[in-house]
Amino acid sequence: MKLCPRCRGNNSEDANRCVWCGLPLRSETAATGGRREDEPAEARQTTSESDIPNDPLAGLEGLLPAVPLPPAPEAGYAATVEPTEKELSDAALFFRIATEPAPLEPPREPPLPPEPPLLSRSMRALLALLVLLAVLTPLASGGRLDVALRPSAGNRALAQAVEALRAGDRVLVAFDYAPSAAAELAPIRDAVLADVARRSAGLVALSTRPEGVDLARQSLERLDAAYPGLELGADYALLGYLAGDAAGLRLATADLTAAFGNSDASGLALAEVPLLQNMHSLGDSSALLVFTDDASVARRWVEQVGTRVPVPLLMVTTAAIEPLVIPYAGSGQLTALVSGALGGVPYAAAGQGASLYSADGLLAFWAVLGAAAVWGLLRRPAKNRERRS
Amino acid sequence: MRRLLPVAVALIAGWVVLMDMMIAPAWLGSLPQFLLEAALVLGAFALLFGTAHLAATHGVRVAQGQSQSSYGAVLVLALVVTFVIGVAFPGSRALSWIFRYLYTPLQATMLGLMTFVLVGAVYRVGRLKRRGAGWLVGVALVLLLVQVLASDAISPLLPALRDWIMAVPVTAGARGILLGIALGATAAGLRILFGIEHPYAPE
Repeated sequence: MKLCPRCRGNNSEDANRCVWCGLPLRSETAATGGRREDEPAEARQTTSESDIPNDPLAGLEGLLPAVPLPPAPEAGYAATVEPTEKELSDAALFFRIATEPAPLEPPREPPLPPEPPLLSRSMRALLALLVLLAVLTPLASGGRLDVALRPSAGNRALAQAVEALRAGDRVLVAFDYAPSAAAELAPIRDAVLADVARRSAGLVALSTRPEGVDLARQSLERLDAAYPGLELGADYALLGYLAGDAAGLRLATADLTAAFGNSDASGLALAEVPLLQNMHSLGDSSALLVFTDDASVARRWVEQVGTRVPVPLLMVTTAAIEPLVIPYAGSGQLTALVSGALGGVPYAAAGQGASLYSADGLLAFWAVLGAAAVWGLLRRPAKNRERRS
Repeated sequence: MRRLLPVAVALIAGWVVLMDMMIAPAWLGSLPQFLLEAALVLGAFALLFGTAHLAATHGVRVAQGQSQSSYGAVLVLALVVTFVIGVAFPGSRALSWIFRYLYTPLQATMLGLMTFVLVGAVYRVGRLKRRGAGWLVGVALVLLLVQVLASDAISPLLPALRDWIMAVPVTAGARGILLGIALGATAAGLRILFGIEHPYAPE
């Protein structure tokens, strides 16, 4: 306890000011400040108060009379009470609680035991192995099963349209698909382009997707390498990217120069490209061949071009969008519709013989899917029994 | 005026293009073609604007050091490199190299991964407790079976079944979707043509 030198009131040891009279209290060493202990108390008090800068109570000393407090009661007994076992235990518990560090985060619920993965490690490895086998099967078999595929009506219509081409005809080819669909469309794309080139018909490529231009360039370069007699500008040309989606297609059906500008993707002026002589719109061609993986793009070609241009519209799509394009084939707005790798294989196989894409891999992949489905069905009752037990 | 002008431009453009599509009157002259060319330029500009906006968004994220900004840094770097090469050397081998050996494999990889996901999903569907899962797997198996090569050697009914599935249920569903799209587009087009709706103009 700290005794106030003025009012003799009791204060706690860490009090800076007397709770009874407001007198600032200093610790003994600080209060003495190195002065002599025999210095008068009043002098010490005055000096110590003036040491406190900006004291809000400065000058108010003595305004209120200090009321002397009754002396604190003294302890009535001096006998030591021995704590009981329970008190010691409680004290130990209190000490532990009081000294325990505060948690930095709210208490967490006890973690749940990890659920076993739906597919076990061995199952996942097996599925991956089966898929890899499906991929490698065509390499081992050499694509011998391709010729066993039955051509669809779309295959036959596409083949007839290509057979009808004559030397000097122009086929406008739209590469309207993303690179992710390139593998699916590659067999039939390469086969059709090769067929057109063999018939000495010209290929005019374009794309309504920015990334389609380079896909077209790759295909034309591949074709050029396979058929050394082909000449850029005379046998094939790349118009480039057609912006504006539906509006762009609509404009290209009326004016090719307005849609593409004065030069093609190779930088050649359209007027100087022999293949593009007398080609003023998309309609100045013998056939329109569209490769796409987007149902809205397919719809755009049918609505904006197919309805205004009296030219066979041939479409090759991915299997994923086939259901949305089928109605146009059923209504006759599409002359031919071929979809997916499966649809492309018969055409590719008929034109170029066995290839490595194709039916064997598809068959193996189907087998994997079927095995996975059957396995899942068979394991379901066993899993249910485990859960019930 | 700030609101009237865009609405007037949209109405005139819409009606002119519609008339040109439906009846093609001669007195319209070259106005429809002019509007289409304008749409073409705007479409190309929108592509450029979208690219710039994407670059700016990710540039800010990188500059502020936000979480996962390293992906944004890769995007901005790839964009700048491709843009500079594409503008400075259009149609060059460097541009083709980027497209052929970076962009195409990345996209193909994403689709390739789907194969594994698909097989895993088929297995999981088979283990679901719902009765519909059995139907789903059953239909999938039938479709796989009828599409298998030389399926007519297994049974002549299989190709016929496949053709029927594609021609009747699938086509019916697709026609329903297409009709819905057409009706929705017609309604939206009419609302814009009559000035009831003008999402392009400030309120």
